[in-house]
Amino acid sequence: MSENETPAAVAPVLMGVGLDMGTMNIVAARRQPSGVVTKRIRDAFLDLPAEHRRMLKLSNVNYIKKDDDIIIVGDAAYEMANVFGREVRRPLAAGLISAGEIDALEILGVMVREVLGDPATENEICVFSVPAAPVDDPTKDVVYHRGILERIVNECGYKAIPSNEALAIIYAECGKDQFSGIAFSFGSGMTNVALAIRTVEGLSFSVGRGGDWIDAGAAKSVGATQARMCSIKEKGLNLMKPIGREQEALVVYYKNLIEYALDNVVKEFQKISAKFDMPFPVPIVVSGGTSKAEGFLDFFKEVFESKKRKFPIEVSVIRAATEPLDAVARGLLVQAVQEYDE
Amino acid sequence: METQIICCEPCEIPDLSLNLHRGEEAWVANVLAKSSKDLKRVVAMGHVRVYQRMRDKKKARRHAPPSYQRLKPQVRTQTPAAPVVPVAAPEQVIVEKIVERVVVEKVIEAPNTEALTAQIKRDLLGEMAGTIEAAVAAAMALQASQAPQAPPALDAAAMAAIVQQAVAAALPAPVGGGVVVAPSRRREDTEEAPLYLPTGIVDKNTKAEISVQSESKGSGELDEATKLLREMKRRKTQTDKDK
Repeated sequence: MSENETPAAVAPVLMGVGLDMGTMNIVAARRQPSGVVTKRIRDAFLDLPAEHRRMLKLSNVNYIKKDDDIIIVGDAAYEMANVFGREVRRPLAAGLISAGEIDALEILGVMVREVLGDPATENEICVFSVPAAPVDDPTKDVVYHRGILERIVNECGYKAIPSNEALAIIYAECGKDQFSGIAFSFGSGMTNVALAIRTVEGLSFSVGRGGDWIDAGAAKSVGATQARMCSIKEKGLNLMKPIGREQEALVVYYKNLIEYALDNVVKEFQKISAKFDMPFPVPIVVSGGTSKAEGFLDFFKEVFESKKRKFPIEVSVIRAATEPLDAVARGLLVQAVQEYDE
Repeated sequence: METQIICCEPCEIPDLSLNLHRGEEAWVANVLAKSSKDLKRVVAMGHVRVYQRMRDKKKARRHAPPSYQRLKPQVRTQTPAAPVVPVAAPEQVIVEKIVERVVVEKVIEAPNTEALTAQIKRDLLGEMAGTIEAAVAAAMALQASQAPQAPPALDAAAMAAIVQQAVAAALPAPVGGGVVVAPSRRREDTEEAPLYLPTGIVDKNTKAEISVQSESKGSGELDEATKLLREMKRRKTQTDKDK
């Protein structure tokens, strides 16, 4: 059914959903007459004995009842983990479904169901994000990850279509550049990169380093915990003006992550340069939760300047995504909407 | 006459199946070198220097070592730069060093080592066995001429074990069913692999009390992107029709 066939008296049903499955957040984007509505849930959970249920009901915390346990999901899982002195559990690790988490699939299924809501019609199209295969860790199984997510989305009543995570940023942010550009999605589990010219994907890959890698590395170098480094980051870290050794350690790892991503672009581009034509300079768009640190764009530009001489692609501008946390979901939504134009 | 390619900056020459590190050299036939677009590209970028000359097969050429170099497999670091067989060394040591040298020449320094499959490995083993046997025999003859005692007979099984060990140490760990493939092919191979996916992941009966964060923003940019994409598709369809 297309939107043209909807009776005029009824509010139009705008079809298509974009679903970003991240290590840190699950975000769904959908069109409504009022605008684009994004729904988000933190991709984390914590299991507690059933006797805590009454307390949780009172505190209005998101939870799932499973057998004799109560599973707290979302941001509350982090808060409760601190209260009970426990470590939060995550369905995704390093960008992919966590094999070590036995309950992960079921919890992930419930979280996706809640974020997506019911489909507007049976088999409504949902384009969901899949990371590219990591170039630095071929043992990571993207195929299984994609298969599982496809099944979850299908079981929620949608028609699932997988799409590359970084390419979605180009769809969301590079319309005026003829959907051409290089997108960097700096996530918490991994960093995804895609190059496209007029929507044609020339290159896409990921590296197994992201925000978590920064936290772990910086924590190790100053003798702190990863959670502490994450908290310093989230409280507000200016990459251009770090204060104290902990912030300086974080900056070192941020720099290394950007350099590593750029170096891998050079390396991967060499493989396709003979077959892929670059007719005009393209923009670089940086996005993802890790890119939300204050001064990230200037810092990226500074690192890029030092690598510019060897960078094989002519770059017109470097800019940040307008909504770093929603850019992927919005780009996927653009693709989902297109499916109804066919 | 062959073409000698000397690497100045790490680079890849896909149509010659070469992946070179700084200081490394590779030899290819002149015809191949002339027809290689990737070689022209890396020459233009100044990543390699190219010479047409006769190859001195007896002498292994070594170029200035790069300032940074990846850690080599243990077998390579233990290998002497020049193929010198220590005369006074015990027989077992001589065999191991010869095996190491042959493995390094045939496997590690072979172009596109990563793409070696199990079958190629087996072929190489056969090829190497002959080379090793000849080299060991020559070394032992030399040893015998300097020391009066007769050289001990070669144990074929022991030699095969040494070769297997050296090849295993020199090659990267196999992926999947024991086949070592180039990184670019890995994704395709995994996609073909059979996959078990559980069903009933989303249990509609699971009780959940979840309220997700919701935010509404103007759809201007999204509408514009959708419109631009639609126009681009229309233009492309029109161009295809005109053709």
